[in-house]
Amino acid sequence: MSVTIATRPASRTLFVSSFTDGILDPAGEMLGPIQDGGTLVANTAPGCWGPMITPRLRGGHEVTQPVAVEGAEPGDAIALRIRDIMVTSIATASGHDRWVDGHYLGDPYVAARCPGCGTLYPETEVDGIGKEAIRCTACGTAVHPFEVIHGYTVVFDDARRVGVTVDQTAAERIAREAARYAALPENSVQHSVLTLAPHDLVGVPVRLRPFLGQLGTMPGVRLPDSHNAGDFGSALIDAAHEFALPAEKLELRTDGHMDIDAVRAGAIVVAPVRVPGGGVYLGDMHALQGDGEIAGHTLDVAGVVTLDVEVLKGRQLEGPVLFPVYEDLPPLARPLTGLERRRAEALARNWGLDGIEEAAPISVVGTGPDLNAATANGIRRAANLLGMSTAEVRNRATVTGAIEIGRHPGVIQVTFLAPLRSLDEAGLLPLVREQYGIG
Amino acid sequence: MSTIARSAVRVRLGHPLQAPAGRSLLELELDDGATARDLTEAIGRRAPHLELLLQLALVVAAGKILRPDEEIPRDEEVALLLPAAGG
Repeated sequence: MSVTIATRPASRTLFVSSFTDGILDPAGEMLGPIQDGGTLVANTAPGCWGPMITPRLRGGHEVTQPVAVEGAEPGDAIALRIRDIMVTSIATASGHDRWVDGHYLGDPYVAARCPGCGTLYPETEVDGIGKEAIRCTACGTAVHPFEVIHGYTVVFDDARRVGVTVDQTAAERIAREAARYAALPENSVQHSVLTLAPHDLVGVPVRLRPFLGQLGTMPGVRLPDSHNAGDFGSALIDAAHEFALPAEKLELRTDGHMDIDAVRAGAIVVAPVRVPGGGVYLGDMHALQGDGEIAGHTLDVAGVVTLDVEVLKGRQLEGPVLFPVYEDLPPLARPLTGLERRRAEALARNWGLDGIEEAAPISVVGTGPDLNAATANGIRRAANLLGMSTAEVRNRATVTGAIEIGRHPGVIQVTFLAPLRSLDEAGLLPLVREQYGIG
Repeated sequence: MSTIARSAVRVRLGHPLQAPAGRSLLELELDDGATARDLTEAIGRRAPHLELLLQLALVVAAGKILRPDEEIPRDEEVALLLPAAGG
């Protein structure tokens, strides 16, 4: 596989402010390299709606240019410790979408087309506000592969703790200065979704709980960024556009587009390495989101992220593994308290056992075309990772964990307390010890 | 004379297939070693009106999308799912 990594000396700290055009391309040039153990600081652009209304972007998102990590090779994993996530947008807008026939080829997320001149991925400019504002530079026709069928504009307080949805007057005032309110990074090329000024929900207060919708590594095959997951990626199989794939190539994905709300400050994501250097990328920051992202979109914002990278040599992974912060663990997957542990040990002794199993939380991500397929995928990955049968994973996730929905239609977490010996054999015990103080 | 063993395969239909099929689950008898293509063709023979959707559907088993020539794993529920794109 052709991968371009610069031969510069590795940086201890790397600031990332450049973006892809929506495509994750293993043959493209990576930034870096960054040292194993180094710190990456990224100013990220909003995902989803902004790129969706910017036809020149081809992947549905505008993620950061991937970064090579010194020493990372296929068959390794990279641990990504999220130190901080800071929302910089002052306002954003979002809503449930409808695809608009005639404005795309096969898939509006990856192949927008001008309905006037037929140009694929046309250059566009913003003329005014509202859904007709984005126009083809060549022929002047409004290009909108998507419409907001029910949407809202939200403003945030200075501390980025709460937001409130605003009325038409305020939404339109914000729309006229969309890039400023969105705090679009200098190198972002997307049109701000604020331009559309949706205002169907008014006066709704919301609580911010920011996380990254995209965090991961370069897939082993060229993919539109929003399709680097088993659900949306399945739309590429034998598709009508240039990013069509046979089913087996989708196995080279890395599932960086998770939309799991536990991917927030304090969490550790362990991502598979499919290409030399790994290619760490991130973006699609969400100010908040309920499990499932059932509207299809949530509050996409710009923001600054700080994370540390560490190469785990020889830790081959089928997909991402997550060690959430304690309060994001499902109740049954939280380690026993001291009192619970003493009671369980006494109970075990009364029934003739030598003691109780030593275990700690792990969350394995599964993706697939629907939630059932994603669950089967996550269970199979967990079984392979921890050397147990799928039946054992099902039992453990039932009695000491949960299946949690990241995104509808097909991203889930299989979270449970796994035996320390299994975590040790999988090479993950140091991360468990660091995150939960166990082992 | 050799005979080919046959097994029952349980097939879950994704949402867009359910209404035209009039059900969410199917059970089929297939030759052992049958492929994903054999499965969709067998369903197409039973329900010709589904043919267009079947051309778009992905055959999924044990959390993996099967290639058309890939054998259907034994003792696994199979799903026929229409792909979804999103952001």
